[in-house]
Amino acid sequence: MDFQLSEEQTLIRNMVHEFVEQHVRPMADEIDRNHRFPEESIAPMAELGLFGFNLPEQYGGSGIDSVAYAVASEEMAKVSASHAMIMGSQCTLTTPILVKYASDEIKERIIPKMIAGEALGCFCLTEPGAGCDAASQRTSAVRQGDSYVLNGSKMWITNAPQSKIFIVFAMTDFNKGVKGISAFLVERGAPGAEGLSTGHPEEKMGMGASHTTEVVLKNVVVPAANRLGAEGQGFKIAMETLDGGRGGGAAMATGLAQAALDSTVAYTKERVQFGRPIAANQGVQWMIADMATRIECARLMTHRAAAAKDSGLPCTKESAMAKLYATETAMYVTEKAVQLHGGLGYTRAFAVERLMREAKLTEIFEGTSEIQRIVIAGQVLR
Amino acid sequence: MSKLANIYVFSDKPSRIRDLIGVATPLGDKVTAIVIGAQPEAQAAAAAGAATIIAIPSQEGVIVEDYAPSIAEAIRGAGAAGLVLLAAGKRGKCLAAKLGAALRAAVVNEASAISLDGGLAVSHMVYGGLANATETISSPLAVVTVASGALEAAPCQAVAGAEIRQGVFVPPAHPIRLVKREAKAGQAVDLAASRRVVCVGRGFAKKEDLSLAGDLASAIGGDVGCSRPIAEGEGWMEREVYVGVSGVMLNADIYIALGVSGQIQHMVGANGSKTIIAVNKDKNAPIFNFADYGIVGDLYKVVPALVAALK
Amino acid sequence: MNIIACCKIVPEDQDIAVKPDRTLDLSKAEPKISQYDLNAIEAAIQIKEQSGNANVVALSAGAAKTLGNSKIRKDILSRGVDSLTLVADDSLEGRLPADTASVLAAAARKTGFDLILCGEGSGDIYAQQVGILLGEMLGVASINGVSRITAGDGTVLVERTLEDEIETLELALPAVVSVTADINTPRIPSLKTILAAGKKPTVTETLDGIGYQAPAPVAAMTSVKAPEQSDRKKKIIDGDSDADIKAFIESIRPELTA
Repeated sequence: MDFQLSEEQTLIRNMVHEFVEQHVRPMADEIDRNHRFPEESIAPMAELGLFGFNLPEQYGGSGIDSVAYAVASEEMAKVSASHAMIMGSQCTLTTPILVKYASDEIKERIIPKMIAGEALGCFCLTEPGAGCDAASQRTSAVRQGDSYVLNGSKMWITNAPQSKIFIVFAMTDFNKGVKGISAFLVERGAPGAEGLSTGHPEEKMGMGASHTTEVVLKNVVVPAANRLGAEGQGFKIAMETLDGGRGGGAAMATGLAQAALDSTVAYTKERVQFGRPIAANQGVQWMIADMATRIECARLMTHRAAAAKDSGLPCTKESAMAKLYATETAMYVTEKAVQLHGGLGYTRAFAVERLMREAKLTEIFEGTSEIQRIVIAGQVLR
Repeated sequence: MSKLANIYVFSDKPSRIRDLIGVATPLGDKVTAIVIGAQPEAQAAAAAGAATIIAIPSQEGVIVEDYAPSIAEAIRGAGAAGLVLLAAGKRGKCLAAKLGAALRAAVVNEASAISLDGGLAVSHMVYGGLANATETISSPLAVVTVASGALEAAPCQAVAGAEIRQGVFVPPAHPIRLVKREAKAGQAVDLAASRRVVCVGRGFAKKEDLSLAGDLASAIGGDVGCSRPIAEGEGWMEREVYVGVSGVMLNADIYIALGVSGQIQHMVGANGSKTIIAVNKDKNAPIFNFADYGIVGDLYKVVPALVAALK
Repeated sequence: MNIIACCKIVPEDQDIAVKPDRTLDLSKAEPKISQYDLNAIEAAIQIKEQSGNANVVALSAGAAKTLGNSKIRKDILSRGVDSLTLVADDSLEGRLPADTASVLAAAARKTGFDLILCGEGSGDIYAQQVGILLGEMLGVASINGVSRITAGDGTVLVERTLEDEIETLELALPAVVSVTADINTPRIPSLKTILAAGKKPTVTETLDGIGYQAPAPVAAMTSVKAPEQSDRKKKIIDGDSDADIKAFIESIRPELTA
């Protein structure tokens, strides 16, 4: 058993590090504060291949493993979780669905554009009345000849305002519960898609630079060829995609936590109170030891789940555990980090304030901690 | 150790010859200036304090670097032992290496100290300014480049009746053709000689805002410099005015850093200042460890207030 | 056109610690490609992209224990060069520029070249002379301080921004050119180039194999020490309220009016 990153994985980590330090760090606070989508980052990210992790080389992807993706996502989130979100939405939530379920025509036409960053995608599952409970979807897809007509609205859709590619889950049969859900590709701007619109970005607590909006579908007509998978297969597609996405969420949370710890270590070694650095106090040391230990554990679980996925082993439980543990660790660590930075930690003088706001979202998105526990329990009690 | 018998100085800039002779005088018994040109250039070197001058006839269209074989020949003819001092610009460094190769001499660029205790030893910065390395020279001749103001220069008297010898032009084996030469727009100030310097760092959001630094500099009667990223990354200011490794080494009385983080590579250029004042909104910026006075605050707020108060 | 881009592997200076006796602790400093050499590599790749017909070899000389690190080798290869030639020998650890240049010269003679590109200085000892020494040792034209290169037919046009002038020079090939840090912004390797790096050829040479003969030493590095910190007053005011700014101005006023 080898716990070392491979040379390639290490070089990928260094590459992302170089990129975020050069390109992202100067804007990280500003885009968060102004809730500004970092449009100028998309082309450079695509150039580096960051939208092509574990995607087939024939479409311009790199075919690289999920551990490398986790490493990259962690490194990205250390500086800007919003960037990690944008990367995650593209790499794990949308493009893989097309790779697996779209027709050859769609694949060849769209996937290279997504990997090249020319078309961003978004994953449209959640609805105002159907968050964790996907079966209570109200969005409908009605077959009309060679087309489907979609009506309904989706909420909390990451990257929606900037997206061209919408993966929309809708009910083709309201009588079948989750088995009545099907997945569709809606291309913004395509004939028939005039009724697709996106709302104003939500005023979120954190990750303001990654826009989350409502998506409204009013009589949106898509060709039947845009159905992804079979009718009724949508829920399965959504769940397996979220399984894959969890690893990214876990890695992002690990990165947030690591950044908070790094800042805390530097600050507590330097901040002098009562004549010595506060890191010299055992009470502070114990907090730091707990923070570091949990991060280590979160990272190992994240990499382990990613490695299982790459080996084709079952990873539902592992991914859910990693997501649950890493995101709760991010919350735990960033909260402690703010505490150890004292009054300054509660101001924008240090990134820990932002990291704590960002960490909270990781416990909620892509399946809340509670849902992860249900998934885990379901696997354990089987 | 006693002084070196011979020191040779060369600079294509008359203004630097005096400075180099000033550095050479305490180190050597005899200082020889090598000039490109004839009587006027030789007389200028004599006026700067050179007792002996070797004048190499100037050639049409030959770049200074291509006089390396001629300068090497002049030094060889005079014994090729001791020390050659050159100005540490790009030309000086290029010439230094060419002379080093031709004369099998050790070459040290941007010397931070030259010592004669126990043999010739020359120090220079390494690891981006983190440390100084001292090289003990074992070749009979050493070639050293010196940045303006980096080493103490003794005052020099003009020499009346200096000995002027005629050098020869030795053509280079692989001549470099000068295609075009343009003066740079706007002569940069010689910051190394400034008494008061206001320094622009990355805390400035855009080029237009640099006028703030200019206002402060006029209020205190000083000049404006910058950190390396402002010159080489943003290109907002001339390379000649960036402070730090491979840039200007300050000898100012007052140095005011505005939005400069204070990386070691920068501070090695600023530390020669008597008083360091820092304005930076990041409380943890390293600059505050090097500062005499500082304020953790927004330079856009602090600087106008400071300018108003000084008027 | 055959281009050699020279690159040195140096310790990451961010991770160098200063010990209490002012000597340096390099034990935690990971090896990396010297920053300014990345400019030389990038310049070589840009020439290749412009001319369409060039082969770029990265050349590095250093201790076998450093260059034996295959991650470092892949790092160099991921920067876009076609192949890598290493001269690896533990005796090359900590060599001064005249030695380094003579090793590179021997290796370049064996590899063959039209143009050699060097960075302005290495991230460790920053001697700023290897490129020129190399050119002189190889008996070809050499120049430093270059901030733009255009490859011509058997020549290169280079632009140098000097203290008070900008000059354009033409050098007949073969030649050695040292570039400045602002000639380009080295690109960050992409996922693709990282994955392709392992498949590119690496040639490892020995000192005997390149016919290296050590020149007579001209200098020895006898001490490396951090400078003494001058004591500063460190009177820092934390905050920029009007009262803080006023206090700050009053604290520095005596210095400014002295």
